[in-house]
Amino acid sequence: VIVMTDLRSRFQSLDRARPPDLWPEIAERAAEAPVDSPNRSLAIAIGVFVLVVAVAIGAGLVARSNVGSPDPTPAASPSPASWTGPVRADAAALRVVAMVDMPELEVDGLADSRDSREPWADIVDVRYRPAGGGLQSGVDIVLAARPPRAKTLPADEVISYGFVIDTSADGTPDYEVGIATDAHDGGDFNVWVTDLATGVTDENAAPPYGYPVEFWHPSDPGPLPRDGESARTMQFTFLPGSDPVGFDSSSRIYAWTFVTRRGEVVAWDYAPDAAWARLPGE
Amino acid sequence: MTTVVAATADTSRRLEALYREDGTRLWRALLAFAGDPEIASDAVAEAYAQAVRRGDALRDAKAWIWRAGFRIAAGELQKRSWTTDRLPDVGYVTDQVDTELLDALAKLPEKQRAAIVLFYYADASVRDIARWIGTSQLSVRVHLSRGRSRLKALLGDRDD
Repeated sequence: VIVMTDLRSRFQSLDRARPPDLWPEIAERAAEAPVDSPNRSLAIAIGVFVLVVAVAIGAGLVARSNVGSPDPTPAASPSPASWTGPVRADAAALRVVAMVDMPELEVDGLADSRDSREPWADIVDVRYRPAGGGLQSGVDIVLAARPPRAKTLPADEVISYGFVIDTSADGTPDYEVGIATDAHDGGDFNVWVTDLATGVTDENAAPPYGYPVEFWHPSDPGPLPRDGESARTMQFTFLPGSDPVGFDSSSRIYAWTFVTRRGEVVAWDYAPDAAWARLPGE
Repeated sequence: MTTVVAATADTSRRLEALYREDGTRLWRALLAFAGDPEIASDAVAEAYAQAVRRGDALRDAKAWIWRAGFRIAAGELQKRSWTTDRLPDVGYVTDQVDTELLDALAKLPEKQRAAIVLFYYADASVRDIARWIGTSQLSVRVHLSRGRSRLKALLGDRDD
Protein backbone atom coordinates (compact mmCIF):
# COMPACT_ATOMS: atom_id res chain seq x y z
CA VAL A 1 0.00 0.00 0.00
CA ILE A 2 1.00 3.58 -0.28
CA VAL A 3 2.15 4.43 3.17
CA MET A 4 1.98 7.87 4.66
CA THR A 5 5.70 8.50 4.36
CA ASP A 6 5.63 7.63 0.67
CA LEU A 7 2.80 10.03 -0.01
CA ARG A 8 4.46 12.75 1.99
CA SER A 9 7.72 12.27 0.10
CA ARG A 10 5.93 12.56 -3.21
CA PHE A 11 4.32 15.81 -2.05
CA GLN A 12 7.77 17.14 -1.23
CA SER A 13 8.38 17.53 -4.94
CA LEU A 14 6.08 20.54 -4.71
CA ASP A 15 8.84 22.32 -2.82
CA ARG A 16 10.74 22.57 -6.09
CA ALA A 17 8.01 24.66 -7.70
CA ARG A 18 8.83 28.36 -7.66
CA PRO A 19 5.86 30.72 -7.47
CA PRO A 20 6.08 34.31 -8.65
CA ASP A 21 6.37 37.10 -6.10
CA LEU A 22 2.72 37.97 -5.69
CA TRP A 23 3.03 40.71 -3.08
CA PRO A 24 2.98 43.61 -5.58
CA GLU A 25 -0.27 42.25 -6.99
CA ILE A 26 -1.64 41.69 -3.49
CA ALA A 27 -0.87 45.29 -2.55
CA GLU A 28 -2.48 46.52 -5.74
CA ARG A 29 -5.64 44.48 -5.21
CA ALA A 30 -5.85 45.52 -1.56
CA ALA A 31 -5.57 49.17 -2.51
CA GLU A 32 -8.53 48.95 -4.84
CA ALA A 33 -11.86 50.22 -3.56
CA PRO A 34 -13.62 47.57 -1.52
CA VAL A 35 -16.21 45.58 -3.35
CA ASP A 36 -19.40 47.50 -2.95
CA SER A 37 -22.93 46.30 -3.09
CA PRO A 38 -23.29 43.29 -5.32
CA ASN A 39 -26.68 44.51 -6.25
CA ARG A 40 -26.55 47.65 -8.26
CA SER A 41 -30.25 48.07 -8.75
CA LEU A 42 -30.95 47.54 -5.10
CA ALA A 43 -28.18 49.93 -4.17
CA ILE A 44 -29.87 52.54 -6.31
CA ALA A 45 -33.14 51.77 -4.63
CA ILE A 46 -31.61 52.16 -1.22
CA GLY A 47 -30.05 55.40 -2.33
CA VAL A 48 -33.58 56.58 -2.91
CA PHE A 49 -34.58 55.08 0.40
CA VAL A 50 -31.84 56.87 2.31
CA LEU A 51 -32.65 60.11 0.56
CA VAL A 52 -36.22 59.82 1.75
CA VAL A 53 -34.96 59.32 5.28
CA ALA A 54 -32.77 62.38 5.14
CA VAL A 55 -35.49 64.58 3.70
CA ALA A 56 -38.07 63.36 6.17
CA ILE A 57 -35.81 63.84 9.18
CA GLY A 58 -34.80 67.24 7.93
CA ALA A 59 -38.41 68.28 7.68
CA GLY A 60 -39.07 67.15 11.19
CA LEU A 61 -41.44 64.47 10.13
CA VAL A 62 -41.99 61.71 12.54
CA ALA A 63 -45.18 60.31 11.22
CA ARG A 64 -44.99 57.55 8.76
CA SER A 65 -44.68 58.36 5.11
CA ASN A 66 -45.01 56.23 2.06
CA VAL A 67 -42.30 55.05 -0.28
CA GLY A 68 -44.03 53.50 -3.21
CA SER A 69 -47.26 52.03 -1.93
CA PRO A 70 -48.78 52.34 1.51
CA ASP A 71 -48.31 49.60 4.06
CA PRO A 72 -51.19 47.44 5.09
CA THR A 73 -52.77 47.15 8.45
CA PRO A 74 -52.94 46.11 11.20
CA ALA A 75 -49.65 47.49 12.44
CA ALA A 76 -47.76 49.63 10.04
CA SER A 77 -44.20 48.73 9.36
CA PRO A 78 -41.85 51.48 10.40
CA SER A 79 -41.49 53.68 7.41
CA PRO A 80 -38.17 55.24 6.58
CA ALA A 81 -39.26 58.50 8.13
CA SER A 82 -39.93 56.91 11.48
CA TRP A 83 -36.38 55.75 12.09
CA THR A 84 -35.03 57.63 15.01
CA GLY A 85 -31.42 56.66 14.58
CA PRO A 86 -28.99 58.45 12.34
CA VAL A 87 -27.99 56.96 9.05
CA ARG A 88 -24.46 55.69 9.06
CA ALA A 89 -22.80 57.12 6.02
CA ASP A 90 -20.73 54.03 5.37
CA ALA A 91 -23.55 51.66 6.08
CA ALA A 92 -26.04 53.60 4.02
CA ALA A 93 -23.98 52.97 0.93
CA LEU A 94 -24.37 49.32 1.67
CA ARG A 95 -28.12 49.70 2.04
CA VAL A 96 -28.20 49.35 5.80
CA VAL A 97 -29.89 51.99 7.85
CA ALA A 98 -28.37 51.68 11.26
CA MET A 99 -30.42 51.85 14.38
CA VAL A 100 -28.76 53.21 17.47
CA ASP A 101 -29.75 54.06 21.01
CA MET A 102 -32.79 51.89 20.83
CA PRO A 103 -34.20 49.68 23.50
CA GLU A 104 -33.11 46.08 23.54
CA LEU A 105 -35.48 43.24 23.36
CA GLU A 106 -34.62 40.03 25.09
CA VAL A 107 -36.66 37.28 23.59
CA ASP A 108 -36.21 33.73 22.48
CA GLY A 109 -37.71 34.55 19.14
CA LEU A 110 -38.01 37.91 17.53
CA ALA A 111 -41.72 37.66 16.88
CA ASP A 112 -43.00 40.47 14.73
CA SER A 113 -46.49 41.60 13.88
CA ARG A 114 -48.08 41.34 10.45
CA ASP A 115 -47.10 44.73 9.21
CA SER A 116 -45.82 44.72 5.66
CA ARG A 117 -47.57 45.26 2.38
CA GLU A 118 -46.46 41.97 0.87
CA PRO A 119 -46.91 38.86 2.97
CA TRP A 120 -43.72 37.36 1.60
CA ALA A 121 -41.86 40.50 2.69
CA ASP A 122 -43.48 40.35 6.10
CA ILE A 123 -41.27 38.94 8.85
CA VAL A 124 -43.24 37.20 11.55
CA ASP A 125 -40.36 35.64 13.47
CA VAL A 126 -36.58 35.44 13.54
CA ARG A 127 -34.65 32.65 15.21
CA TYR A 128 -31.01 32.24 16.02
CA ARG A 129 -29.49 28.79 15.85
CA PRO A 130 -26.29 28.60 17.91
CA ALA A 131 -23.59 26.19 16.87
CA GLY A 132 -23.42 22.94 18.79
CA GLY A 133 -24.27 19.31 18.70
CA GLY A 134 -22.81 18.98 15.25
CA LEU A 135 -24.99 21.80 13.92
CA GLN A 136 -23.72 25.06 12.55
CA SER A 137 -24.85 28.50 13.62
CA GLY A 138 -27.45 30.33 11.63
CA VAL A 139 -30.46 32.59 11.50
CA ASP A 140 -33.96 31.75 10.30
CA ILE A 141 -36.31 34.45 9.07
CA VAL A 142 -39.89 33.27 9.10
CA LEU A 143 -42.17 35.05 6.62
CA ALA A 144 -45.93 35.37 6.53
CA ALA A 145 -46.08 33.66 3.14
CA ARG A 146 -43.85 31.83 0.75
CA PRO A 147 -42.36 34.18 -1.84
CA PRO A 148 -42.73 33.64 -5.57
CA ARG A 149 -40.01 31.78 -7.44
CA ALA A 150 -37.10 33.99 -8.34
CA LYS A 151 -37.36 32.99 -12.00
CA THR A 152 -40.99 34.08 -12.17
CA LEU A 153 -40.44 37.62 -10.91
CA PRO A 154 -40.70 40.55 -13.31
CA ALA A 155 -37.30 41.68 -14.48
CA ASP A 156 -37.58 44.93 -12.57
CA GLU A 157 -38.55 43.38 -9.26
CA VAL A 158 -36.07 42.28 -6.60
CA ILE A 159 -36.79 40.61 -3.29
CA SER A 160 -34.12 40.76 -0.60
CA TYR A 161 -33.87 39.24 2.84
CA GLY A 162 -31.18 39.54 5.44
CA PHE A 163 -30.06 40.49 8.87
CA VAL A 164 -27.59 42.83 10.49
CA ILE A 165 -25.28 41.78 13.29
CA ASP A 166 -23.90 43.92 16.08
CA THR A 167 -21.26 41.56 17.38
CA SER A 168 -20.22 43.72 20.31
CA ALA A 169 -23.69 44.92 21.28
CA ASP A 170 -22.64 48.56 21.14
CA GLY A 171 -25.31 49.75 18.72
CA THR A 172 -23.04 49.87 15.71
CA PRO A 173 -23.73 47.27 13.04
CA ASP A 174 -20.74 45.11 12.20
CA TYR A 175 -21.98 42.73 9.50
CA GLU A 176 -24.80 42.55 7.04
CA VAL A 177 -25.89 39.20 5.65
CA GLY A 178 -28.29 39.17 2.74
CA ILE A 179 -29.76 37.41 -0.22
CA ALA A 180 -31.49 38.91 -3.25
CA THR A 181 -33.19 37.58 -6.33
CA ASP A 182 -31.04 39.50 -8.77
CA ALA A 183 -28.30 36.98 -9.34
CA HIS A 184 -26.09 38.16 -12.15
CA ASP A 185 -23.84 35.20 -12.64
CA GLY A 186 -26.05 32.33 -13.66
CA GLY A 187 -27.77 31.54 -10.39
CA ASP A 188 -31.15 32.33 -8.94
CA PHE A 189 -29.82 34.27 -6.00
CA ASN A 190 -27.10 36.63 -5.00
CA VAL A 191 -25.93 36.05 -1.43
CA TRP A 192 -23.45 38.17 0.43
CA VAL A 193 -21.82 39.00 3.75
CA THR A 194 -20.56 42.54 4.20
CA ASP A 195 -18.09 43.59 6.86
CA LEU A 196 -19.58 47.02 7.57
CA ALA A 197 -16.44 48.27 9.27
CA THR A 198 -14.23 47.66 6.26
CA GLY A 199 -16.87 47.73 3.54
CA VAL A 200 -15.63 44.43 2.17
CA THR A 201 -18.34 42.26 0.69
CA ASP A 202 -18.01 38.54 0.03
CA GLU A 203 -20.69 37.58 -2.44
CA ASN A 204 -21.76 34.61 -4.46
CA ALA A 205 -24.19 34.99 -7.33
CA ALA A 206 -24.07 31.50 -8.75
CA PRO A 207 -23.81 27.94 -7.61
CA PRO A 208 -22.07 26.31 -5.93
CA TYR A 209 -23.32 28.29 -2.97
CA GLY A 210 -22.25 27.75 0.61
CA TYR A 211 -19.70 30.50 0.88
CA PRO A 212 -19.79 33.14 2.32
CA VAL A 213 -23.05 31.89 3.85
CA GLU A 214 -25.12 28.83 3.10
CA PHE A 215 -28.85 29.34 2.65
CA TRP A 216 -32.15 27.75 1.95
CA HIS A 217 -34.53 30.10 0.18
CA PRO A 218 -38.23 29.40 0.60
CA SER A 219 -38.91 30.04 -3.09
CA ASP A 220 -36.40 27.37 -4.03
CA PRO A 221 -38.06 23.96 -4.17
CA GLY A 222 -34.91 22.32 -2.86
CA PRO A 223 -34.23 18.62 -2.63
CA LEU A 224 -36.74 17.95 0.15
CA PRO A 225 -40.41 18.88 0.31
CA ARG A 226 -41.27 21.50 2.88
CA ASP A 227 -44.59 22.55 4.19
CA GLY A 228 -46.09 24.76 6.86
CA GLU A 229 -43.70 27.21 8.45
CA SER A 230 -40.61 25.63 6.95
CA ALA A 231 -41.95 26.45 3.46
CA ARG A 232 -41.86 30.16 4.26
CA THR A 233 -38.60 30.33 6.19
CA MET A 234 -35.50 31.99 4.83
CA GLN A 235 -32.65 30.06 6.36
CA PHE A 236 -29.03 31.21 6.63
CA THR A 237 -26.30 28.92 7.93
CA PHE A 238 -22.64 29.66 8.40
CA LEU A 239 -20.48 26.79 7.32
CA PRO A 240 -17.66 25.85 9.67
CA GLY A 241 -15.12 28.62 9.71
CA SER A 242 -17.40 31.06 7.90
CA ASP A 243 -19.00 32.72 10.90
CA PRO A 244 -18.52 36.47 11.00
CA VAL A 245 -15.90 37.32 13.57
CA GLY A 246 -17.50 37.67 16.98
CA PHE A 247 -20.95 36.41 15.98
CA ASP A 248 -22.28 34.38 18.87
CA SER A 249 -25.08 34.40 21.38
CA SER A 250 -23.81 37.66 22.88
CA SER A 251 -24.40 39.48 19.60
CA ARG A 252 -27.48 41.48 18.70
CA ILE A 253 -29.30 41.42 15.40
CA TYR A 254 -32.21 42.74 13.46
CA ALA A 255 -33.65 41.23 10.32
CA TRP A 256 -34.89 43.07 7.26
CA THR A 257 -36.71 42.55 3.99
CA PHE A 258 -36.99 44.78 0.94
CA VAL A 259 -38.98 44.50 -2.24
CA THR A 260 -38.09 46.89 -5.02
CA ARG A 261 -39.89 47.50 -8.26
CA ARG A 262 -38.38 49.67 -10.93
CA GLY A 263 -35.84 50.84 -8.43
CA GLU A 264 -38.33 51.88 -5.76
CA VAL A 265 -38.73 50.25 -2.40
CA VAL A 266 -42.38 49.18 -2.38
CA ALA A 267 -42.49 46.88 0.63
CA TRP A 268 -40.23 46.27 3.56
CA ASP A 269 -40.11 45.04 7.09
CA TYR A 270 -37.80 44.92 10.07
CA ALA A 271 -37.78 42.60 13.04
CA PRO A 272 -37.68 43.90 15.65
CA ASP A 273 -39.38 46.95 14.16
CA ALA A 274 -37.34 49.53 16.05
CA ALA A 275 -34.74 47.84 18.16
CA TRP A 276 -31.81 45.57 18.27
CA ALA A 277 -32.66 42.16 19.57
CA ARG A 278 -30.46 40.34 21.98
CA LEU A 279 -30.06 36.71 21.07
CA PRO A 280 -31.24 34.02 23.41
CA GLY A 281 -28.53 32.57 25.60
CA GLU A 282 -27.16 29.16 24.89
CA MET B 1 -17.57 47.23 18.14
CA THR B 2 -15.30 46.68 15.22
CA THR B 3 -13.39 49.85 14.65
CA VAL B 4 -11.25 48.90 11.69
CA VAL B 5 -11.90 51.31 8.88
CA ALA B 6 -9.00 50.51 6.65
CA ALA B 7 -5.95 48.39 6.73
CA THR B 8 -3.18 50.13 8.58
CA ALA B 9 0.38 50.19 7.39
CA ASP B 10 1.24 48.01 10.34
CA THR B 11 -1.35 45.43 9.32
CA SER B 12 -0.06 45.45 5.78
CA ARG B 13 3.52 44.93 6.96
CA ARG B 14 2.43 42.11 9.24
CA LEU B 15 0.61 40.37 6.42
CA GLU B 16 3.50 40.89 4.04
CA ALA B 17 5.73 39.20 6.60
CA LEU B 18 3.24 36.34 6.78
CA TYR B 19 3.21 36.14 3.00
CA ARG B 20 7.02 35.99 2.86
CA GLU B 21 6.99 33.21 5.44
CA ASP B 22 3.96 31.18 4.40
CA GLY B 23 2.73 32.38 1.00
CA THR B 24 4.95 30.05 -1.01
CA ARG B 25 3.71 27.02 0.89
CA LEU B 26 0.09 28.07 0.35
CA TRP B 27 0.77 28.59 -3.36
CA ARG B 28 2.26 25.12 -3.69
CA ALA B 29 -0.64 23.54 -1.82
CA LEU B 30 -3.06 25.33 -4.13
CA LEU B 31 -1.05 24.19 -7.13
CA ALA B 32 -1.50 20.61 -5.98
CA PHE B 33 -5.20 21.24 -5.31
CA ALA B 34 -6.02 23.08 -8.52
CA GLY B 35 -3.37 21.65 -10.82
CA ASP B 36 -2.98 25.09 -12.31
CA PRO B 37 -0.36 27.67 -11.35
CA GLU B 38 -2.55 30.51 -12.58
CA ILE B 39 -5.39 29.54 -10.27
CA ALA B 40 -2.92 29.11 -7.42
CA SER B 41 -1.51 32.58 -7.99
CA ASP B 42 -4.91 34.21 -8.28
CA ALA B 43 -6.22 32.50 -5.16
CA VAL B 44 -3.18 33.46 -3.10
CA ALA B 45 -3.27 37.06 -4.31
CA GLU B 46 -7.00 37.45 -3.70
CA ALA B 47 -6.94 35.78 -0.30
CA TYR B 48 -4.10 37.97 0.92
CA ALA B 49 -5.63 41.10 -0.61
CA GLN B 50 -8.91 40.45 1.19
CA ALA B 51 -7.01 39.85 4.40
CA VAL B 52 -5.22 43.18 4.03
CA ARG B 53 -8.55 44.92 3.47
CA ARG B 54 -9.96 43.36 6.60
CA GLY B 55 -7.14 44.77 8.63
CA ASP B 56 -7.15 43.82 12.27
CA ALA B 57 -10.60 42.25 12.06
CA LEU B 58 -9.05 38.85 11.44
CA ARG B 59 -8.24 36.98 14.60
CA ASP B 60 -6.12 34.36 12.88
CA ALA B 61 -4.97 35.74 9.57
CA LYS B 62 -3.06 32.65 8.51
CA ALA B 63 -5.99 30.30 9.03
CA TRP B 64 -8.36 32.72 7.33
CA ILE B 65 -6.06 33.10 4.32
CA TRP B 66 -5.66 29.34 3.88
CA ARG B 67 -9.41 28.84 4.07
CA ALA B 68 -10.11 31.72 1.69
CA GLY B 69 -7.41 30.57 -0.70
CA PHE B 70 -8.85 27.07 -1.01
CA ARG B 71 -12.38 28.37 -1.40
CA ILE B 72 -11.35 30.88 -4.04
CA ALA B 73 -9.47 28.18 -5.93
CA ALA B 74 -12.45 25.82 -5.65
CA GLY B 75 -14.69 28.54 -7.08
CA GLU B 76 -12.33 29.08 -10.00
CA LEU B 77 -12.22 25.36 -10.73
CA GLN B 78 -16.00 25.27 -10.71
CA LYS B 79 -16.20 28.16 -13.15
CA ARG B 80 -13.72 26.44 -15.41
CA SER B 81 -15.74 23.23 -15.37
CA TRP B 82 -18.68 25.17 -16.80
CA THR B 83 -16.71 26.81 -19.57
CA THR B 84 -14.20 24.25 -20.79
CA ASP B 85 -13.09 20.70 -20.38
CA ARG B 86 -9.58 21.58 -21.43
CA LEU B 87 -6.87 20.70 -18.97
CA PRO B 88 -4.85 23.62 -17.66
CA ASP B 89 -1.44 24.37 -19.05
CA VAL B 90 1.03 23.44 -16.35
CA GLY B 91 4.00 23.37 -18.69
CA TYR B 92 6.26 25.61 -16.74
CA VAL B 93 6.08 23.54 -13.57
CA THR B 94 6.13 20.07 -15.11
CA ASP B 95 9.89 19.84 -14.84
CA GLN B 96 9.77 20.83 -11.19
CA VAL B 97 7.07 18.75 -9.57
CA ASP B 98 5.75 15.20 -9.52
CA THR B 99 3.28 15.51 -12.37
CA GLU B 100 2.10 11.93 -11.92
CA LEU B 101 0.96 12.94 -8.46
CA LEU B 102 -0.76 16.08 -9.78
CA ASP B 103 -2.54 14.04 -12.44
CA ALA B 104 -3.72 11.54 -9.84
CA LEU B 105 -4.89 14.29 -7.51
CA ALA B 106 -6.87 15.86 -10.34
CA LYS B 107 -8.93 12.69 -10.54
CA LEU B 108 -10.09 12.96 -6.93
CA PRO B 109 -13.30 14.74 -5.93
CA GLU B 110 -12.70 18.28 -4.77
CA LYS B 111 -12.96 17.75 -1.02
CA GLN B 112 -10.96 14.54 -1.07
CA ARG B 113 -8.25 16.36 -2.98
CA ALA B 114 -8.28 19.31 -0.60
CA ALA B 115 -8.13 17.04 2.44
CA ILE B 116 -5.24 15.02 1.02
CA VAL B 117 -3.23 18.10 0.07
CA LEU B 118 -3.83 19.86 3.36
CA PHE B 119 -3.01 16.78 5.40
CA TYR B 120 -0.02 15.40 3.52
CA TYR B 121 1.54 18.58 2.25
CA ALA B 122 0.44 21.36 4.59
CA ASP B 123 0.49 19.19 7.73
CA ALA B 124 -2.86 20.63 8.74
CA SER B 125 -4.85 18.98 11.49
CA VAL B 126 -8.14 17.23 10.77
CA ARG B 127 -9.86 19.95 12.77
CA ASP B 128 -8.33 22.73 10.69
CA ILE B 129 -9.06 20.93 7.45
CA ALA B 130 -12.69 20.61 8.47
CA ARG B 131 -12.91 24.34 9.08
CA TRP B 132 -11.12 25.30 5.90
CA ILE B 133 -13.06 23.16 3.47
CA GLY B 134 -16.37 23.55 5.27
CA THR B 135 -17.17 20.08 6.50
CA SER B 136 -17.10 17.98 9.66
CA GLN B 137 -14.02 16.29 11.11
CA LEU B 138 -15.67 12.94 10.50
CA SER B 139 -16.10 13.81 6.84
CA VAL B 140 -12.46 14.83 6.61
CA ARG B 141 -11.40 11.42 7.91
CA VAL B 142 -13.62 9.79 5.32
CA HIS B 143 -12.16 12.01 2.60
CA LEU B 144 -8.63 11.09 3.70
CA SER B 145 -9.38 7.39 3.77
CA ARG B 146 -11.06 7.35 0.39
CA GLY B 147 -8.50 9.69 -1.11
CA ARG B 148 -5.65 7.44 -0.01
CA SER B 149 -7.39 4.40 -1.49
CA ARG B 150 -8.00 6.19 -4.76
CA LEU B 151 -4.42 7.41 -4.96
CA LYS B 152 -3.22 3.89 -4.31
CA ALA B 153 -5.16 2.71 -7.32
CA LEU B 154 -4.01 5.60 -9.47
CA LEU B 155 -0.35 5.64 -8.51
CA GLY B 156 0.17 1.94 -7.97
CA ASP B 157 1.53 0.12 -4.97
CA ARG B 158 4.83 1.44 -3.75
CA ASP B 159 5.45 -0.34 -0.50
CA ASP B 160 4.25 -3.68 0.61
